[in-house]
Amino acid sequence: MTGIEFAEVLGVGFAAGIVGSLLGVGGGVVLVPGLSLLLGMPFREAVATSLVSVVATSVAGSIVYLRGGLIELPIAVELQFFTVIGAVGGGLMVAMVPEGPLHLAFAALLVYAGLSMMPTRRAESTRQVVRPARRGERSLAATASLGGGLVAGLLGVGGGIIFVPVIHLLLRRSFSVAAATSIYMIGITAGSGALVYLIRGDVVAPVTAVAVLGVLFGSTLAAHARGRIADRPLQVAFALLLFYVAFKMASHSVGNG
Amino acid sequence: MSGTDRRIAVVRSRAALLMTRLVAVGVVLLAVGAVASVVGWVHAGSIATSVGLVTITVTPLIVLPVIGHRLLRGDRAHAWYAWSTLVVALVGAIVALWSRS
Repeated sequence: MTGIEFAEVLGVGFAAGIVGSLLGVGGGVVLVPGLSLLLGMPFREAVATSLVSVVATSVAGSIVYLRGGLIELPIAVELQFFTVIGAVGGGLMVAMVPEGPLHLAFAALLVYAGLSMMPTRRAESTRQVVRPARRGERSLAATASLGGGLVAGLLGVGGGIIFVPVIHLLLRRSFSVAAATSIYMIGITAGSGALVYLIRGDVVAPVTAVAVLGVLFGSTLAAHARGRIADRPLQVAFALLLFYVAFKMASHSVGNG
Repeated sequence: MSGTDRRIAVVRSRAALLMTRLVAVGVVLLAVGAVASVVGWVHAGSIATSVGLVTITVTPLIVLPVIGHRLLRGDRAHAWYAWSTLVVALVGAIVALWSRS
Protein backbone atom coordinates (compact mmCIF):
# COMPACT_ATOMS: atom_id res chain seq x y z
CA MET A 1 0.00 0.00 0.00
CA THR A 2 1.48 3.35 -1.06
CA GLY A 3 1.37 6.52 1.03
CA ILE A 4 -1.30 8.02 -1.23
CA GLU A 5 -3.48 4.89 -0.99
CA PHE A 6 -3.00 4.95 2.78
CA ALA A 7 -4.17 8.59 2.92
CA GLU A 8 -7.12 7.90 0.58
CA VAL A 9 -8.39 4.92 2.57
CA LEU A 10 -7.84 6.80 5.84
CA GLY A 11 -9.80 9.80 4.44
CA VAL A 12 -12.73 7.67 3.22
CA GLY A 13 -12.81 5.90 6.59
CA PHE A 14 -12.76 9.22 8.45
CA ALA A 15 -15.68 10.57 6.38
CA ALA A 16 -17.62 7.33 6.86
CA GLY A 17 -17.01 7.48 10.62
CA ILE A 18 -18.35 11.04 10.90
CA VAL A 19 -21.45 10.39 8.75
CA GLY A 20 -22.14 7.02 10.35
CA SER A 21 -21.87 8.22 13.93
CA LEU A 22 -23.88 11.42 13.42
CA LEU A 23 -26.72 9.69 11.57
CA GLY A 24 -26.68 6.33 13.33
CA VAL A 25 -26.21 4.37 10.11
CA GLY A 26 -22.72 2.94 10.62
CA GLY A 27 -21.09 4.49 7.57
CA GLY A 28 -21.35 1.51 5.23
CA VAL A 29 -23.36 3.62 2.78
CA VAL A 30 -20.31 5.93 2.51
CA LEU A 31 -17.52 3.37 2.77
CA VAL A 32 -18.69 0.85 0.15
CA PRO A 33 -19.20 3.46 -2.64
CA GLY A 34 -16.04 5.27 -1.50
CA LEU A 35 -13.84 2.19 -1.67
CA SER A 36 -15.38 0.62 -4.77
CA LEU A 37 -16.22 3.69 -6.92
CA LEU A 38 -13.48 6.13 -5.81
CA LEU A 39 -10.60 3.76 -5.05
CA GLY A 40 -11.48 0.91 -7.44
CA MET A 41 -11.62 -1.85 -4.81
CA PRO A 42 -13.59 -5.01 -5.81
CA PHE A 43 -17.16 -4.79 -4.48
CA ARG A 44 -16.95 -7.94 -2.34
CA GLU A 45 -13.76 -6.72 -0.63
CA ALA A 46 -15.29 -3.27 -0.17
CA VAL A 47 -18.30 -4.85 1.54
CA ALA A 48 -16.04 -6.94 3.81
CA THR A 49 -13.98 -3.86 4.73
CA SER A 50 -17.18 -1.91 5.30
CA LEU A 51 -18.65 -4.49 7.67
CA VAL A 52 -15.58 -4.52 9.93
CA SER A 53 -15.46 -0.71 9.83
CA VAL A 54 -19.15 -0.49 10.70
CA VAL A 55 -18.39 -2.47 13.85
CA ALA A 56 -15.64 0.06 14.65
CA THR A 57 -18.10 2.94 14.14
CA SER A 58 -20.59 1.23 16.40
CA VAL A 59 -18.10 0.50 19.17
CA ALA A 60 -16.56 3.98 19.17
CA GLY A 61 -19.96 5.66 19.13
CA SER A 62 -21.49 3.28 21.67
CA ILE A 63 -18.80 4.05 24.26
CA VAL A 64 -19.71 7.75 24.19
CA TYR A 65 -23.48 7.21 23.93
CA LEU A 66 -23.52 4.60 26.73
CA ARG A 67 -21.77 7.03 29.08
CA GLY A 68 -24.14 9.81 27.99
CA GLY A 69 -27.21 7.65 28.64
CA LEU A 70 -28.59 8.09 25.11
CA ILE A 71 -28.85 4.37 24.34
CA GLU A 72 -32.10 2.68 25.38
CA LEU A 73 -30.62 -0.66 26.40
CA PRO A 74 -33.93 -2.53 26.87
CA ILE A 75 -35.03 -1.60 23.33
CA ALA A 76 -31.60 -2.41 21.87
CA VAL A 77 -31.32 -5.77 23.63
CA GLU A 78 -34.81 -6.80 22.56
CA LEU A 79 -34.56 -5.74 18.90
CA GLN A 80 -31.01 -6.93 18.27
CA PHE A 81 -32.10 -10.51 18.89
CA PHE A 82 -34.28 -10.25 15.77
CA THR A 83 -31.72 -8.30 13.72
CA VAL A 84 -29.01 -10.92 14.33
CA ILE A 85 -31.36 -13.74 13.31
CA GLY A 86 -32.00 -11.79 10.09
CA ALA A 87 -28.33 -10.92 9.55
CA VAL A 88 -27.11 -14.49 10.06
CA GLY A 89 -29.92 -15.83 7.85
CA GLY A 90 -29.18 -13.22 5.17
CA GLY A 91 -25.44 -13.91 5.25
CA LEU A 92 -25.98 -17.63 4.86
CA MET A 93 -28.51 -17.38 2.01
CA VAL A 94 -26.83 -14.51 0.12
CA ALA A 95 -25.78 -16.77 -2.76
CA MET A 96 -29.36 -17.98 -3.37
CA VAL A 97 -31.15 -14.61 -3.73
CA PRO A 98 -30.92 -12.56 -6.97
CA GLU A 99 -29.64 -9.05 -6.22
CA GLY A 100 -31.73 -7.05 -8.72
CA PRO A 101 -35.25 -7.38 -7.24
CA LEU A 102 -33.80 -7.13 -3.75
CA HIS A 103 -32.13 -3.83 -4.59
CA LEU A 104 -35.34 -2.42 -6.11
CA ALA A 105 -37.43 -3.43 -3.09
CA PHE A 106 -34.83 -1.98 -0.77
CA ALA A 107 -34.73 1.28 -2.76
CA ALA A 108 -38.52 1.61 -2.40
CA LEU A 109 -38.23 0.98 1.33
CA LEU A 110 -35.54 3.66 1.61
CA VAL A 111 -37.69 6.24 -0.20
CA TYR A 112 -40.58 5.50 2.16
CA ALA A 113 -38.31 5.74 5.21
CA GLY A 114 -36.79 8.99 3.90
CA LEU A 115 -40.22 10.58 3.39
CA SER A 116 -41.27 9.47 6.87
CA MET A 117 -38.12 10.90 8.43
CA MET A 118 -38.65 14.41 7.04
CA PRO A 119 -39.43 16.59 10.10
CA THR A 120 -42.91 18.11 10.29
CA ARG A 121 -44.66 20.20 12.93
CA ARG A 122 -46.93 17.28 13.74
CA ALA A 123 -43.95 14.98 14.12
CA GLU A 124 -42.17 17.44 16.40
CA SER A 125 -45.22 17.65 18.64
CA THR A 126 -46.09 13.96 18.88
CA ARG A 127 -43.06 11.79 18.14
CA GLN A 128 -40.80 13.30 20.76
CA VAL A 129 -43.10 12.08 23.53
CA VAL A 130 -41.60 9.00 25.17
CA ARG A 131 -44.14 6.44 26.25
CA PRO A 132 -44.11 2.64 26.51
CA ALA A 133 -44.65 1.04 23.09
CA ARG A 134 -47.94 -0.78 22.56
CA ARG A 135 -47.90 -4.53 21.97
CA GLY A 136 -48.69 -4.15 18.25
CA GLU A 137 -45.97 -1.54 17.80
CA ARG A 138 -43.39 -3.75 19.50
CA SER A 139 -44.34 -6.72 17.32
CA LEU A 140 -44.09 -4.56 14.19
CA ALA A 141 -40.73 -3.20 15.37
CA ALA A 142 -39.46 -6.76 15.93
CA THR A 143 -40.62 -7.83 12.46
CA ALA A 144 -39.06 -4.74 10.84
CA SER A 145 -35.82 -5.42 12.74
CA LEU A 146 -35.81 -8.98 11.46
CA GLY A 147 -36.19 -7.61 7.92
CA GLY A 148 -33.53 -4.97 8.59
CA GLY A 149 -31.10 -7.64 9.77
CA LEU A 150 -31.91 -9.77 6.73
CA VAL A 151 -31.21 -6.84 4.40
CA ALA A 152 -28.01 -6.05 6.33
CA GLY A 153 -26.81 -9.63 5.95
CA LEU A 154 -27.68 -9.74 2.26
CA LEU A 155 -26.31 -6.32 1.23
CA GLY A 156 -23.41 -5.92 3.65
CA VAL A 157 -24.60 -2.81 5.49
CA GLY A 158 -25.06 -2.32 9.23
CA GLY A 159 -28.83 -1.91 9.05
CA GLY A 160 -29.01 1.51 10.70
CA ILE A 161 -31.07 2.83 7.78
CA ILE A 162 -33.82 0.50 9.01
CA PHE A 163 -33.22 0.64 12.77
CA VAL A 164 -33.35 4.44 13.09
CA PRO A 165 -36.84 4.78 11.50
CA VAL A 166 -38.07 1.75 13.48
CA ILE A 167 -37.01 3.22 16.83
CA HIS A 168 -37.93 6.81 15.96
CA LEU A 169 -41.24 6.26 14.16
CA LEU A 170 -42.58 2.99 15.56
CA LEU A 171 -41.30 3.16 19.13
CA ARG A 172 -41.58 6.97 19.24
CA ARG A 173 -38.20 7.81 20.70
CA SER A 174 -36.41 11.07 19.85
CA PHE A 175 -34.13 11.03 16.82
CA SER A 176 -31.05 11.38 19.05
CA VAL A 177 -32.03 8.32 21.10
CA ALA A 178 -32.94 6.40 17.93
CA ALA A 179 -29.59 7.18 16.28
CA ALA A 180 -27.62 6.31 19.44
CA THR A 181 -29.53 3.05 20.02
CA SER A 182 -29.12 2.16 16.35
CA ILE A 183 -25.35 2.75 16.56
CA TYR A 184 -25.17 0.20 19.38
CA MET A 185 -27.38 -2.32 17.54
CA ILE A 186 -25.48 -2.23 14.24
CA GLY A 187 -22.31 -3.32 16.05
CA ILE A 188 -23.99 -6.61 16.93
CA THR A 189 -25.55 -6.97 13.47
CA ALA A 190 -22.42 -6.06 11.48
CA GLY A 191 -20.23 -8.02 13.91
CA SER A 192 -22.14 -11.20 13.11
CA GLY A 193 -21.75 -10.55 9.36
CA ALA A 194 -18.10 -9.47 9.63
CA LEU A 195 -17.27 -12.69 11.49
CA VAL A 196 -18.56 -14.66 8.47
CA TYR A 197 -16.40 -12.58 6.09
CA LEU A 198 -13.34 -12.95 8.36
CA ILE A 199 -13.84 -16.71 8.59
CA ARG A 200 -14.20 -16.93 4.79
CA GLY A 201 -10.99 -14.92 4.28
CA ASP A 202 -12.63 -12.08 2.33
CA VAL A 203 -11.16 -9.28 4.50
CA VAL A 204 -8.05 -7.53 3.08
CA ALA A 205 -6.30 -6.90 6.40
CA PRO A 206 -3.98 -3.92 5.58
CA VAL A 207 -6.69 -1.86 3.83
CA THR A 208 -9.29 -2.75 6.46
CA ALA A 209 -6.91 -1.82 9.29
CA VAL A 210 -6.32 1.67 7.83
CA ALA A 211 -10.05 2.14 7.14
CA VAL A 212 -10.90 1.07 10.69
CA LEU A 213 -8.42 3.54 12.16
CA GLY A 214 -9.96 6.35 10.06
CA VAL A 215 -13.48 5.29 11.01
CA LEU A 216 -12.61 5.12 14.71
CA PHE A 217 -11.16 8.63 14.64
CA GLY A 218 -14.09 10.09 12.68
CA SER A 219 -16.84 8.39 14.67
CA THR A 220 -15.32 9.29 18.05
CA LEU A 221 -15.02 12.92 16.98
CA ALA A 222 -18.62 12.96 15.72
CA ALA A 223 -20.02 11.21 18.80
CA HIS A 224 -18.54 13.91 21.05
CA ALA A 225 -20.10 16.62 18.88
CA ARG A 226 -23.47 14.85 18.58
CA GLY A 227 -25.05 16.39 21.68
CA ARG A 228 -24.45 19.93 20.35
CA ILE A 229 -26.22 19.32 17.02
CA ALA A 230 -30.00 19.74 16.73
CA ASP A 231 -32.24 16.86 15.58
CA ARG A 232 -33.94 18.70 12.70
CA PRO A 233 -30.97 19.24 10.35
CA LEU A 234 -29.80 15.71 11.08
CA GLN A 235 -33.21 14.33 10.12
CA VAL A 236 -33.12 16.23 6.83
CA ALA A 237 -29.57 15.05 6.16
CA PHE A 238 -30.56 11.48 6.97
CA ALA A 239 -33.58 11.64 4.65
CA LEU A 240 -31.45 13.05 1.81
CA LEU A 241 -28.91 10.28 2.40
CA LEU A 242 -31.69 7.69 2.14
CA PHE A 243 -32.90 9.18 -1.17
CA TYR A 244 -29.34 9.14 -2.54
CA VAL A 245 -28.75 5.52 -1.56
CA ALA A 246 -32.17 4.57 -2.99
CA PHE A 247 -31.24 6.18 -6.33
CA LYS A 248 -27.85 4.39 -6.37
CA MET A 249 -29.46 1.03 -5.58
CA ALA A 250 -32.21 1.45 -8.17
CA SER A 251 -29.77 2.51 -10.90
CA HIS A 252 -27.46 -0.39 -9.95
CA SER A 253 -30.39 -2.80 -10.21
CA VAL A 254 -31.53 -1.42 -13.60
CA GLY A 255 -27.93 -1.44 -14.83
CA ASN A 256 -27.58 -5.11 -13.92
CA GLY A 257 -30.99 -6.02 -15.25
CA MET B 1 -33.87 7.26 40.35
CA SER B 2 -35.64 3.87 40.57
CA GLY B 3 -33.92 0.51 41.05
CA THR B 4 -34.32 -0.33 37.37
CA ASP B 5 -32.82 3.00 36.32
CA ARG B 6 -29.87 2.50 38.68
CA ARG B 7 -29.27 -1.01 37.33
CA ILE B 8 -29.33 0.19 33.73
CA ALA B 9 -26.93 3.03 34.61
CA VAL B 10 -24.50 0.44 36.05
CA VAL B 11 -24.89 -1.70 32.92
CA ARG B 12 -24.13 1.32 30.73
CA SER B 13 -20.94 2.21 32.60
CA ARG B 14 -19.69 -1.40 32.75
CA ALA B 15 -20.36 -1.92 29.02
CA ALA B 16 -18.67 1.38 28.09
CA LEU B 17 -15.61 0.51 30.20
CA LEU B 18 -15.28 -2.97 28.68
CA MET B 19 -15.72 -1.58 25.15
CA THR B 20 -13.06 1.09 25.82
CA ARG B 21 -10.52 -1.48 26.98
CA LEU B 22 -11.17 -3.89 24.09
CA VAL B 23 -11.03 -1.13 21.47
CA ALA B 24 -7.80 0.18 23.00
CA VAL B 25 -6.27 -3.30 22.66
CA GLY B 26 -7.53 -3.53 19.06
CA VAL B 27 -6.20 -0.09 18.08
CA VAL B 28 -2.78 -0.79 19.66
CA LEU B 29 -2.57 -4.08 17.73
CA LEU B 30 -3.54 -2.34 14.46
CA ALA B 31 -0.94 0.39 15.06
CA VAL B 32 1.73 -2.23 15.91
CA GLY B 33 0.77 -4.15 12.77
CA ALA B 34 1.08 -1.02 10.59
CA VAL B 35 4.49 -0.08 12.06
CA ALA B 36 5.78 -3.68 11.80
CA SER B 37 4.73 -3.86 8.15
CA VAL B 38 6.44 -0.53 7.37
CA VAL B 39 9.77 -1.57 8.94
CA GLY B 40 9.72 -4.89 7.09
CA TRP B 41 8.38 -7.33 9.68
CA VAL B 42 5.58 -8.33 7.32
CA HIS B 43 4.62 -11.61 9.00
CA ALA B 44 4.52 -10.15 12.51
CA GLY B 45 2.65 -7.11 11.17
CA SER B 46 0.08 -9.33 9.46
CA ILE B 47 -0.55 -11.32 12.65
CA ALA B 48 -0.92 -8.19 14.80
CA THR B 49 -3.28 -6.61 12.23
CA SER B 50 -5.43 -9.74 11.98
CA VAL B 51 -5.70 -10.13 15.75
CA GLY B 52 -6.54 -6.42 16.05
CA LEU B 53 -9.31 -6.70 13.46
CA VAL B 54 -10.77 -9.78 15.16
CA THR B 55 -10.63 -8.01 18.54
CA ILE B 56 -12.60 -5.02 17.24
CA THR B 57 -15.08 -7.23 15.34
CA VAL B 58 -16.01 -9.40 18.31
CA THR B 59 -16.04 -6.55 20.86
CA PRO B 60 -19.83 -5.94 20.61
CA LEU B 61 -20.45 -9.68 20.89
CA ILE B 62 -18.25 -9.89 24.01
CA VAL B 63 -19.97 -6.90 25.64
CA LEU B 64 -23.41 -8.37 24.96
CA PRO B 65 -23.29 -11.11 27.65
CA VAL B 66 -22.06 -8.53 30.17
CA ILE B 67 -25.16 -6.45 29.49
CA GLY B 68 -27.32 -9.57 29.64
CA HIS B 69 -25.76 -10.70 32.92
CA ARG B 70 -26.26 -7.31 34.58
CA LEU B 71 -29.85 -7.03 33.36
CA LEU B 72 -30.52 -10.53 34.68
CA ARG B 73 -31.08 -9.06 38.13
CA GLY B 74 -34.83 -8.64 37.97
CA ASP B 75 -35.15 -8.48 34.19
CA ARG B 76 -35.01 -12.04 32.91
CA ALA B 77 -36.78 -11.26 29.61
CA HIS B 78 -34.07 -8.88 28.40
CA ALA B 79 -31.29 -11.15 29.70
CA TRP B 80 -32.82 -14.00 27.70
CA TYR B 81 -32.78 -11.82 24.56
CA ALA B 82 -29.08 -10.91 25.13
CA TRP B 83 -27.88 -14.48 25.63
CA SER B 84 -30.02 -15.83 22.78
CA THR B 85 -28.58 -13.18 20.45
CA LEU B 86 -25.06 -14.32 21.31
CA VAL B 87 -26.01 -17.95 20.65
CA VAL B 88 -27.48 -17.08 17.21
CA ALA B 89 -24.30 -15.14 16.27
CA LEU B 90 -22.08 -18.04 17.36
CA VAL B 91 -24.20 -20.55 15.42
CA GLY B 92 -23.84 -18.33 12.32
CA ALA B 93 -20.05 -18.24 12.73
CA ILE B 94 -19.88 -22.04 13.16
CA VAL B 95 -22.04 -22.60 10.05
CA ALA B 96 -19.76 -20.21 8.07
CA LEU B 97 -16.70 -22.15 9.29
CA TRP B 98 -18.36 -25.43 8.37
CA SER B 99 -19.36 -24.20 4.88
CA ARG B 100 -15.79 -22.96 4.30
CA SER B 101 -14.31 -26.38 5.01
